[in-house]
Amino acid sequence: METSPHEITGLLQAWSAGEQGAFEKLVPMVYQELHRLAQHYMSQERPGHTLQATALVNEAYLRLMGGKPISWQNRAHFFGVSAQLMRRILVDFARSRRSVRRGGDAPAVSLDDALVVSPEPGADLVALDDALHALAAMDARRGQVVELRFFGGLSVEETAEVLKVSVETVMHDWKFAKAWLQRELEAAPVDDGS
Amino acid sequence: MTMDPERWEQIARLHRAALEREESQRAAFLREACAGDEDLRREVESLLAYEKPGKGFLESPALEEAARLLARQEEQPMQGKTLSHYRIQEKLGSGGMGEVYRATDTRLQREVAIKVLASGFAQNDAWMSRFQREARVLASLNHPHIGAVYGLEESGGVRAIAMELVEGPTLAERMGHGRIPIPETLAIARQVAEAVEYAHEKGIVHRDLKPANIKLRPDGVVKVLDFGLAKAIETGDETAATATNTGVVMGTPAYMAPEQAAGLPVDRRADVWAFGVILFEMLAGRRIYARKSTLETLAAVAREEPPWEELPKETPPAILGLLRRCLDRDVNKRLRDVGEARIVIEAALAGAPARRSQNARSRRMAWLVGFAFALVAVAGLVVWFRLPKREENLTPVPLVSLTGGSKYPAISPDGNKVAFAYFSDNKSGIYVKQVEGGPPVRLTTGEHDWLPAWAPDDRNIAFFRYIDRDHTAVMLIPSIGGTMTREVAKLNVFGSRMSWTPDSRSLVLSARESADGPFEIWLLSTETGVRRRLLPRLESRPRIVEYGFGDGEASLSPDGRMLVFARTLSTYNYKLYAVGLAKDLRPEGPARKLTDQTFGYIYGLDWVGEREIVFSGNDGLFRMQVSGGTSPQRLSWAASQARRPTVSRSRHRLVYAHGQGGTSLWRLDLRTGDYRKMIESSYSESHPQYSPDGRRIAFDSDRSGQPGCWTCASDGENCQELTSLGGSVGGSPRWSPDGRWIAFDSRAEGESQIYVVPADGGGQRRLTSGDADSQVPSWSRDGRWIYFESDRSGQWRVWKAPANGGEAIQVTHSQGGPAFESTDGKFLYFFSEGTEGLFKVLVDGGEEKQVAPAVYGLFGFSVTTKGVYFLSDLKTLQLLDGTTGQIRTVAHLGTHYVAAGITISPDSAYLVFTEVKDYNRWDLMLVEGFR
Repeated sequence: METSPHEITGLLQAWSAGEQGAFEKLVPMVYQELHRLAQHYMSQERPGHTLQATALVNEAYLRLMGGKPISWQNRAHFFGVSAQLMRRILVDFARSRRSVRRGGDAPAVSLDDALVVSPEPGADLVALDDALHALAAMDARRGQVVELRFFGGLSVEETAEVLKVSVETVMHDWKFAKAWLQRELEAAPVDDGS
Repeated sequence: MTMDPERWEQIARLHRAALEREESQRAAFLREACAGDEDLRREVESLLAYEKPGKGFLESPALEEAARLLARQEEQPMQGKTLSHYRIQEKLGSGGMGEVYRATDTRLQREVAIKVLASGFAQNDAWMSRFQREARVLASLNHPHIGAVYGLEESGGVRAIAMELVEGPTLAERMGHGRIPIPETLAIARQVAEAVEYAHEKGIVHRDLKPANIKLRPDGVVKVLDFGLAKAIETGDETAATATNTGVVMGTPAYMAPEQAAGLPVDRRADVWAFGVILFEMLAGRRIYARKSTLETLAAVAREEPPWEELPKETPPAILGLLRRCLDRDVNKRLRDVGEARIVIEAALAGAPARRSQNARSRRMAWLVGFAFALVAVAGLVVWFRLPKREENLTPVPLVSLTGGSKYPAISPDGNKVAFAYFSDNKSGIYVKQVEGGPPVRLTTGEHDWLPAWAPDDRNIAFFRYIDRDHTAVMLIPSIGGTMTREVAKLNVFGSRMSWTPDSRSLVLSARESADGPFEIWLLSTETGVRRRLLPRLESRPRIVEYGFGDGEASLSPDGRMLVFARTLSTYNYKLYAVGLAKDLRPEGPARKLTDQTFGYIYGLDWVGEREIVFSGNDGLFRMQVSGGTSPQRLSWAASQARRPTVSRSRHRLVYAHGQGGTSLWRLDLRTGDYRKMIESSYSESHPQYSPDGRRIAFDSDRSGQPGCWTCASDGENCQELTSLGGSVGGSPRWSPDGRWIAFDSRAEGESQIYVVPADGGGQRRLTSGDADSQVPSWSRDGRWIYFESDRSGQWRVWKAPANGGEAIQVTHSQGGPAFESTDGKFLYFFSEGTEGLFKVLVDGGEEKQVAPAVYGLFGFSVTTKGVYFLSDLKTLQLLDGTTGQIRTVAHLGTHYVAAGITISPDSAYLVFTEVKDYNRWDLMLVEGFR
């Protein structure tokens, strides 16, 4: 099942207006996209089909937040809300998954292991979320750049448009914030599963 | 962690400034900029250390990371586990909500389907409790055409819906094989309508009616699945029949009603729309609103009319009317009750001849129906007979006209773009041209890419990348371009078209496993690179395999249920075959020959409809019904140099490559060195031969649109067609010593045979027979024998047969090729296919002695009283003196070069030769209105 972007716009609007029910309706939609993507990764029999994957991810974002924000006061608000929503849902998802994994037999995988195991470096979404909170506390703009780019799936240009800064500023903010976050995550005590 | 904001900005500023400098200068820059503040320097340095090239940290968006995490975890299979009292067996499929497994109900000992809800759904308690209530309503649906919901199960944190297990493919899978015959379509539609009607009566709207939710059981029973689940997922606390206040709708865009796509409240009329789309698609044989992205699909639903012209002509008018009512954009004018649809369909089904009952009144009705059918048939015949006439009006216009060779076109599924290979400077790449305008755009970066094939789903273009003589890579590139070219397999391919399967997942192509083995047709998965033979191994084998043999030009019908291909078991002798395929693409029975007619080479073929093809032979384009019974019809408006047709069935467009090359016949005065162009032609004028009196020249040509033998005056004037070769290749006409007869070769009857025809025209007679090739004749000087080369012994040797008919005798034993007697009739000079040298032997046999090292080409020598003139290379004419045996150079051809044969006038004064021009120039032509 797929969802038309129009309705998602309406739900996002309701959610940003404080309507908790809207959030619960949005969650399954995001999960649906997650599953669609996961299906794709599972069906890949050989690595390297990245173009199709990228296209799918783009399409998923488009479905989830690509609706024209007709009734929104401004695009910045809309994308900001969408990125926040994605962050919240995806981090919750990762948190629930982490607990599931710990409950089972599989050993916890550290970030470094993940780097070895997965073809592309993965990020521990939960730890990242914590570090991002710390970053935003010091530097709201760079925190938002990461939220919009990583959770919201926006391009550098779109992010610049939303934040009303230059493309160069976004590019540097992005580099700087990534370096800082990466250092922060490495410095964090190794997650021992407790 | 907190930090002084000023300090923080200072770090950021220095980080940026350092990055703007060369890596080698960064350390020095920082030392200076930090002016002894070591903490600051270390801080910036440590951040700079994360500046690595390539894809890394946070480079893929969070959604993708989460999906990968999920993918890794979901690999752990459910198989073998027990959920409540269900024992889970193999996985049947997966969808947005979760995965579906076959399971055994251990209490009732029956097989069920279990849809295990994805954890995203299952872990949201508020949502689950609403869903539970909705599921109870669904469980109350009890109808033979609705897949039953048994209940919601929960066990160990996993939640699942237990449902009736329905065996058989989904309608979506069935439609993947193309158009469904009308009676079957109606039978399916009736059952779907019944199911929807029943649910509507119970107040339940499906809201996600689509082919993937309709199962076709092998016994013909149709079951609609997932009734009301869309509703149940989205909100559980309202009854299904009422619209939601928020306007939230879930559904599949391609089957959404316009009001549903706009986010407006929906009711049962949304199901009526979806039902209309499904019925339409079964009849038209393709998805009508599916586009590449959700947004495009929604836009199409909101704006575009269904492609009414794609419905089969035989669609009953009542069904057409029904479709128009179901697919009314205005929800208030749309058919309100799906029960009405069921009644219309039942009436249409009852009207079919198979269901006539036996009472008198019905018989009268039946007769009337039969009469109506006859009228339709007559109308059909009228259309059929008028077809050629209408086609004469079609006009090919140039689509791509570049200075190199634009060949191998492949039209996109929407008919708006054409991919092709562009050849220039011995390199080739794949380009794409918009039919509506704009310059061609290069798609691939390889140097030897060719033969593109556009996938039906429009995502990818497959093409060949030449590596060396025995290796060609089968490549994929996204049709929108980009750098993600991917190799699927390396094969020894036949240079013939590839064909995609309707699901866009596999290619059908021709390849051989060894250099002397047959070309065979393979099914190659583009996802795994795994291939399997599509047809049984080819057992027969020609005697001579140097040009390759076997099957090529594989082309699947749009529905994937029939394969047409070209098979050759002897040189230049391609025959068209067809074989029906099962759903899994395994052949249903042996391949059958479509026609005995031969077309020399087959240069590409494509499907015009489900049962009709267009193809190119040596002599232009032909179309033919695959069902048999009709012979191929040559398309009169296409030139004989038309090759590689590709068809857009939806846009009624045909694109083909048109060879711009031609030949000219030149005459060189060997005494003065003057050249004179005798014939300039856009056709192939080859293998000239002076008559014994030197007054006429015979040659072969396709100037009539068909290959044939011609004669003209010695100055190139007054050309007359002597005989047609019946669409095959051949020719090489040779005069009898008295000038009254001409012998030539033709493959009109399969293998190449020698024929004789009066020099001033008339009936031809065949001289040779048998299943071997006999070609390039020449007469003995006494006119009693006709020499020719033949491979009947397994190798090319010179043979001769009595000119009046009779048993052929082998003349040479160690070598063989085209031959001429010396003018005194004592010796035979012949070309050696093996060494490419010139040999001489006494006409009665004896030692076969090489007399000249190398002759350029089969037709590169001519005998006069002076001896043997021959080409030692493309540009040098030499004479082997008949008396002395000395070889001397007679002429250099300067800027000219010889391509297809020479002849010397009997008085040794003139050389006539064929020169080829613009051989590499190919344009793409477009024909609109081709249907």
